[in-house]
Amino acid sequence: MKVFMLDPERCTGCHLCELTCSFNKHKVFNRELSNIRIEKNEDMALNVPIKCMQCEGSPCIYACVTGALYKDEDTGAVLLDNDKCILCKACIIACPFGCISLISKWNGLQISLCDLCSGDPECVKVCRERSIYYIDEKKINREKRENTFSKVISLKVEKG
Amino acid sequence: MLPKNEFKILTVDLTSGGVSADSLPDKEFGKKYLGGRGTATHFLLEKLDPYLDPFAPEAPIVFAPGVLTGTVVPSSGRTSIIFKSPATGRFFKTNVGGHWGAQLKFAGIDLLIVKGKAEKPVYISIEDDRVAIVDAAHLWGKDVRETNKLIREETDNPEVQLACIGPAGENKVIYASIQVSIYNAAGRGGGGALMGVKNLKAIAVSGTKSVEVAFPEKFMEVVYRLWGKMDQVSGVQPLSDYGTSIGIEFTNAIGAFPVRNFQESSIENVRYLTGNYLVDGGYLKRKISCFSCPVACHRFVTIDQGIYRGTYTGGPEYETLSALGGGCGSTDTAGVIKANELCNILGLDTISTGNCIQWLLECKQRGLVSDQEAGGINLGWGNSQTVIQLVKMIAHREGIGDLLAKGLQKAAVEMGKDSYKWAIQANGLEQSRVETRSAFGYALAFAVSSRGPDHLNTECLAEFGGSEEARKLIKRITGSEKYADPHTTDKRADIVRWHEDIYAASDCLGICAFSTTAQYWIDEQDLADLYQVATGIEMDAREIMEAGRRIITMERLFNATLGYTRKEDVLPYRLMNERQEAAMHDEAINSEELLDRMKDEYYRLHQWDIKTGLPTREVLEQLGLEEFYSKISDSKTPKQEE
Repeated sequence: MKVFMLDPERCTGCHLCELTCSFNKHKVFNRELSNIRIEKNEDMALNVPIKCMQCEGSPCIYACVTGALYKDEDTGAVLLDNDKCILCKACIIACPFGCISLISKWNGLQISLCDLCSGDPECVKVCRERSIYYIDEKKINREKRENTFSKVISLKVEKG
Repeated sequence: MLPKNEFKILTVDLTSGGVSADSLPDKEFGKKYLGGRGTATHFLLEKLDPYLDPFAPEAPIVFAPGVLTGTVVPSSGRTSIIFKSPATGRFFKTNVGGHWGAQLKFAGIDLLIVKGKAEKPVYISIEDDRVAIVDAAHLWGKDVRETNKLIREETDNPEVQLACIGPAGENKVIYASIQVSIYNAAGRGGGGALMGVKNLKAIAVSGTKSVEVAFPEKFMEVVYRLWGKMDQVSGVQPLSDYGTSIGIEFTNAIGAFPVRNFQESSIENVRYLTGNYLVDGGYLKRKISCFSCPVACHRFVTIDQGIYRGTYTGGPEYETLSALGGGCGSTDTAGVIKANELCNILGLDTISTGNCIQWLLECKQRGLVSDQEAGGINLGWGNSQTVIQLVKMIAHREGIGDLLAKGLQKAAVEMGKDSYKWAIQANGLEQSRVETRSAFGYALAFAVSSRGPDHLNTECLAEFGGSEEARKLIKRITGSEKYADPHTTDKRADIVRWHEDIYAASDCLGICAFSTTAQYWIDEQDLADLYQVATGIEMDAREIMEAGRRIITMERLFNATLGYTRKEDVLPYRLMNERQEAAMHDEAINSEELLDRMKDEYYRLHQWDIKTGLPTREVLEQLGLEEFYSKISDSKTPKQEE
C-alpha cells in the first residue's frame, strides 16, 4: 500500500499544494478550503506542510458518534459520509494535527478532510521539491538509505 | 478580473481616512489594458498630474497584483507597484514577488490605490472586507523584521502579509525599498520613501475569499502544459539549485561583471560571489518560493561562524552580490550577506545602495573625499566592513550617509568637481549591475526605459545566447542565431522591442519575468491562453504583445509630458564616454553615436517620431490611446537635470 509522507526540510512555501487541493475539490483557489496547509515562519524561512497522516486507529473515527467517518480499505484514507454527519465537530477535536476543518459551502457548513484523491493525490503532483510524496510503504526509507550509502562510499573513496 | 469580469479597486485616502471600493466591469477595458500593471499605468496616466511633486500628499501609490496572482499558474505571484518616483521624477513601475499580492487577491482586491498623507504614523490593515487605518506610533523606527513580528502579534493572525518600510523609508532615503514578505524587495525607484512621506509604515493584508477563473477545466489544461514545458528548459533546475547568482561566473568570464564602480569588468576569486559558493560554503540553508512558484530561486542564508555569526536573511541575489560585493572590490561572501541583511531589514534597494557606496569609494580614490571627512571610515576598495558601516549610515542618514541617501544624481552635484563622471546613474536612477559596454541590447534597453538604466523593464539576457532556448528565441525574433551576440548593434532594437512587450504583459498577469524572458518556458501564446481561460476575455498572442506595447507607449507619454524626449534616452556618463577596460571586443563603449544607431531603429519599430522619440498621433490612434495625445502636445517645459 502507498502512504503519504512529508519532508518539511524541502518545503519552499510556494502554496501550490494548497491551491491544487482547493481547486480539485471546489473549482476555486482558496487556501482556506484546502486539506493540506503550509504553516510558515517567514522570518526564518521555515515552511512545514501539515496534512492528514491517515493514522492507524484513527482518533477521528473513534470520536465520530454517528459512524460518518470510516477507513477506505484500498487507500487507507479516512472518508466521510456526509449524510450521517451531524456536524458535532468531535473529529476536529480529536485530530492531533488540526487536519480536519469546517468549511462553508453554498449549502451550509461541512466537514472537510483529505481523501487522498482516491489514491492519486493531486497535491503531490505539483510539489516540485518532493516535500510531500506518496510512496509504497516498502520504499519509505530506501532513498534515505541510498543517500547514506553514497555518503559512506564517498568517505571511503576519499580516505583511499 | 475573474468570471464576471469584475475588477475590484480599493482606494484608501490617508488624509481623510476615507476608504472606497469601486469596480471596472468593462470587458473592452480588460482586453486593452489586461489588468495589474496595465490598469495601474492607465490610472496614473489618466488621473495623475505629471507635474505633481512625487512627495506631495495627494500623490498616489498603486499596488497591482497580477491577473493570475492567487491561482495555481506556476510563477504567477508577482505584484507591480506604480508611482511617480521621487528619485527620477518620472513614471515608475517596480515589481516584487513574495506572498503579499496573493493575500490582496484573497481579500478580493485587484488594485489598491493609496493616496494622501496621515498626520502621524499609521498602517493600513485589510482583513477581507474590513479595512482600517491603525496607529503605528509604536512601530515607527522599527526594522522590517520586527515590524512583521509585531503586526502579526497584534492582529493575532499568522497569515497576515506585510508590505512595509524600514527606517530608511521613514528617513526618506531616495532609494528606500518597500519590503514584502520580509525579504522580497520592491526595491527600485524609492517607493519606500513615498510611504515614509505618507507616514505609512505598512500595509497588512490577509484574505480568505476565493480566486476564481472563467473556465476551470481548460485552465488546468494550460497549467499542466506549462508544467511540462518548465521541466524541459535547461536553465530552470540550475536556477532552482543555485539562485540568480548562478550567472556571475559566466558574466565575469566574458568581462561583463562590473567591478570597482565599473572601472574593471572582472574580479579575481569570483567564485566566492556565486550561487554555487553559497551552497559549498554552507551559507544556503533553504530555498524560498514566491507565491505559486515551483522554481524557488530565492535563497535563505545564515552565517554560523566568524564576526558576522548570527546573521540570517533572504538573498543575496545576483545584483546584490555585484552591487555590495564585486562592485565595491570585495569577494567576501559573509560581508555581502551581512550588508544584504541590513538592506533588507532597514529597507534599502541594494543596487542603488551599492552604486552610491562605490561612487564614494571612487571619490576617495580620486582625492575628492578623505577618510576623516567620512567620519573616520576606511574608504579603500574591497573592505566589506566599510560597506556595512555605510549601509547603516545611509539608512539613518548619519554623517556622509546623508549625502549618499540623496541618490547619485544629487550627491554628485553636491560633491562637485568631476564626480558626476563616475556617478553610475542616468535620469536619477542608479544603473543596475550590467556592463552595458559589453552588452548592447541591454545598453539600448537601459537608455530607453521609462525607469532609467536598469534591466527590470526589459531583461534581454537572450542576446548573450547563453542557452539553446536563448539562441532559438533570438532566431525567432531576428531570423538568425548569429544575432545572439551582445557586441553588435544589429537587431538590438528588435530584441529589445520583443522583450519589453512580453515583460509588460507578464507583469500584468503577475507572471515572473524569469519564466518569460530569462528561462523562456512561457511564451506569448501561453500568456494569451492563460488570460483567456482565466478571464473569459478572448485574447491571442498578437493582442497580448500589443497590450505590452501599449503600456510601454503610455509610460513614454507620461514622461513626454514632463519634457523627456530622445535626448534624455541616455546612459551614465562613464559608460558613454569612457572605454571599458580589458573588454573582450573592440567597440566597448556606449557612445552617443552607438546609441543613436540603435535608438533610430528602436523608435522606428515603435512607430515613434525618430527625431523626438515621442509617440506619433498615428500610433496612438492605432493603439487606441488617442485620448492621451494632448499629453505630448501640451508638454511645455523640457526639463533635464544633469
